[in-house]
Amino acid sequence: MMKIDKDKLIIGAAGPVLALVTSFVLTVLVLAASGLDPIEPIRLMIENAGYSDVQVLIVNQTGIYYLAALAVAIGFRMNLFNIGVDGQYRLAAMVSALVGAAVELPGPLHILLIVLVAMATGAFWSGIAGILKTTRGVSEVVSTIMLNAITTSLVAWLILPKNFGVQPPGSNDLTTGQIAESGWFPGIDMGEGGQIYGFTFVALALGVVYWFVINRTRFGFDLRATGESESAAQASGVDAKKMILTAMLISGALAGLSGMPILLGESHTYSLAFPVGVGFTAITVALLGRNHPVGILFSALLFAFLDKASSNLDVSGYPKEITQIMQGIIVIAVVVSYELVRRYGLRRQQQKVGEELAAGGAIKTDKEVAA
Amino acid sequence: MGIATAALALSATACGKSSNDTGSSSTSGSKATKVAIAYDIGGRGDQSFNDAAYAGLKKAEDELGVKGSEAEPSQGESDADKVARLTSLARAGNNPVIGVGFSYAPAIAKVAKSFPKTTFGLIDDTSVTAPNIANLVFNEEQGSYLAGVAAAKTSKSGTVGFIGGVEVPLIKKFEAGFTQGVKDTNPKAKVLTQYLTQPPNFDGFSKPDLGKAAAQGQIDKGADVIYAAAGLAGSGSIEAAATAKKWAIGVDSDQYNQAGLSSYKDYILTSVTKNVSGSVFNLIKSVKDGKPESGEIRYGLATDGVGLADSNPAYKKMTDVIAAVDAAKKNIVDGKITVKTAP
Amino acid sequence: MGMATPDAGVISLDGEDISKLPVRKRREGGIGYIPEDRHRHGLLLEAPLWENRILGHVTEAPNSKRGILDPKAARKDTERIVREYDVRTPGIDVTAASLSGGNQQKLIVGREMSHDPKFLIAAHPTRGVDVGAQAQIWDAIRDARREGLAVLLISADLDELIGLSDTLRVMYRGKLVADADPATITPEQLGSAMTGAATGHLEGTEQSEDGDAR
Repeated sequence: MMKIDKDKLIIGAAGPVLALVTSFVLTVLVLAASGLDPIEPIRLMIENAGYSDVQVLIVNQTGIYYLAALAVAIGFRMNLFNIGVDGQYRLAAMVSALVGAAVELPGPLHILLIVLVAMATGAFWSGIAGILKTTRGVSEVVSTIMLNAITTSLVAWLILPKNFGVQPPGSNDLTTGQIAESGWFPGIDMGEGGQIYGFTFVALALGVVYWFVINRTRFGFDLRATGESESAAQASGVDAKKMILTAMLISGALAGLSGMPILLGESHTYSLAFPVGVGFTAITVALLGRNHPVGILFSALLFAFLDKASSNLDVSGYPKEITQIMQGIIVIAVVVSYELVRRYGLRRQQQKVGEELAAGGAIKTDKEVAA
Repeated sequence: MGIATAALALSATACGKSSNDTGSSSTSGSKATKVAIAYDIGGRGDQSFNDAAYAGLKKAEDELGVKGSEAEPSQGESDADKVARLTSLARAGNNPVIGVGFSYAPAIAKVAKSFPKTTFGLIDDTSVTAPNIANLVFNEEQGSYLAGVAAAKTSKSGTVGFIGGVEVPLIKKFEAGFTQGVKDTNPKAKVLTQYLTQPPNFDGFSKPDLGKAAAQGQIDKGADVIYAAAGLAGSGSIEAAATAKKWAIGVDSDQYNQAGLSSYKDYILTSVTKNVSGSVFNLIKSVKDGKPESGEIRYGLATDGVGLADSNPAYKKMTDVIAAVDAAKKNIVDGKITVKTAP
Repeated sequence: MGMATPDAGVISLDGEDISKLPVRKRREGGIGYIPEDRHRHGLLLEAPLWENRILGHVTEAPNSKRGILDPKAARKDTERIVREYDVRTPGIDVTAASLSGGNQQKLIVGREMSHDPKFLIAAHPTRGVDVGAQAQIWDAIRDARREGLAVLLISADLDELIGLSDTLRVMYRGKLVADADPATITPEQLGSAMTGAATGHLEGTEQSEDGDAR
């Protein structure tokens, strides 16, 4: 039994390791092919990551990616592809920022209100895709992507000064108004390094909650079963339609939360400059992390590192785009390597079980004991 | 790599030195003065806004002997990233540090406080101010008004087109001025307005194919003069107009003289120039001369901060158009016409 | 089981009408199910054995208590099932896919029996199963029947039908067409009923060549 366990660990890690090594090698090749020193930019990035302010940026970005990736991962475990995390994240950030700026409540309540509105908005938006899927069989891939486009127009319309937006005097930016300080989430001051968003720790805590719900609750079991085999899950008593809708709602709520670190800890408003693209990077993060809360954490860290440590590459003459190339290669490498490792792992286990049984290693059964 | 980074982050965050500790905060005058510009979305090479800023930097390098640095924005970055970028530029001893674009406003507000001896330039925003911030702003609506006058007088079909890159308040200034200029000159003229993308999708400033398709659509609807305020995407509009043998009006720099657009230059009637390069150069010079600019520095028609280029010989021959434009310019400078900044 | 909706009619268990109950409630109410297609409806192939033991009974002890799973209890019980039903496996952490068909089926049988079912539906329970496992499964069904369990055996295996059943009904083209006494019926008669050649009540006494039943 011990032998098979160690095997499982190696096979579990083989996928991501293989993907990362491949991406790294391919990125180096791309750099060399374009006539640039392949190792120097990597060295510069590692050096840049040694500074406290870059580290703060990395930690904060990890929290953001982590939340968004959890949102994606819940869907993935149900074989649902919530490509709409980016739209849900933006809409939720905007609506919750509007509500947050419109009221002033005692601290914890103010923050709680903003968070709840964000979760509700995100859940609502992805719920639309969920309902379309369960009532009409519409692929959630298609509907969530379209909802992303609708989000862009909807947000642009809502933020017009004649609607809900505010154009601060002298500024060319559009915002949702400043949230009063009671709605600011306290962070950890790292001195010269900046401030670690307090919500980053909320994100980590949610990772623990995610692990518990998925692995230790009845609901989580049903969810995983539906993802592994919808027919077996249905035969076992799962209401597939309810499950799909619930999973989409939870995914949307988590997506809504991923805007909270920046909204509550940094900008305190939603403006035209609010970071975008988080939802799409999160898909790769979740894939690389194999939908596992610890795997996603490391994956989020890696992507945050790639994002932030490359910030000053251009000053040394290297294109920042190499990190995007690497992130893109990781997507493909992950999908291919996981499939390869999965098939290999399955074959190997069947082999090993056959061998062990032949060698007489089965658990002692009553029949044998009796004999 | 993930594990190594995790270890790095967890162990070193509290005790690592800041990236800003490296490099000297030089105040000596014996070495060449260092200046820096941080670009807006799209970075250098947009044939327009960012390139104009670079032109100012280059002129300062050539004429004033300063040493320039440039920094590009990252994908999906937040204010914190901008703060880090500006901080490291300031720490490296650059003075002035110029943020090209209104999205730098919150970041400059923070960083300017930490570096009171450094001058910060902020283009297109006056909402954040400080003794060491110079807000370089332009009256784009005035220049656009003149373009509207030129367009209305040149158009034979009575229909002209406006293409905005991204629907943000800044570009709406261009639209407002242009439309007003057209209507004041020919009340019966029609102005077709289209924005290429909505924020946060800023592709409308960088994708020429979007500009080309939009211009084509307007030409199909009868427009024979097209004014594109869309950064790099505008070059697509210019291409479409030239191919259909219609007029195009450029923006930000004198696009008649841009190498990348030379095949279409004959159809570039004029350009609404926004003297971004001049503003950058002036700021750098003021710092070098020891009298740094501060507060709102407005570049309007009166100071030739904005205007219509007249490089195209075909345009120079249109004396009646030029007369109308000059008259309008005088009226604006004299205060007889107030140009709207929002449609 | 509740996976398909009937057009008409009522299903009742122990006098209670369960026609409107969802699958889970029926299972909790005491219906055990050995599915015809164990790969599609009975197992999570890539999950370990102990999680497969939970499948179908996730709301019942020892698998969970008030919504929280109890892996330790589930694992222990899985080991018990493996022992009692002679499931050949090196451990309970291997995936269900790595077991042979017969051992997979034995696990399922053991699982369904473990929740004190009132009524067991066994659909083709020994299809694709080796002879040894087949005998074991038959033993398990007979043992349970002796303890009072009601079993609905659905099968096309004549020996199995005759050997296990107390009463027999034959379905042909969606309709009940014949009934018989397994103690007296011959495989040939049963076979012809299953192909629609014989209908009505089948007696096991001498038959005419064309299997006419009276």
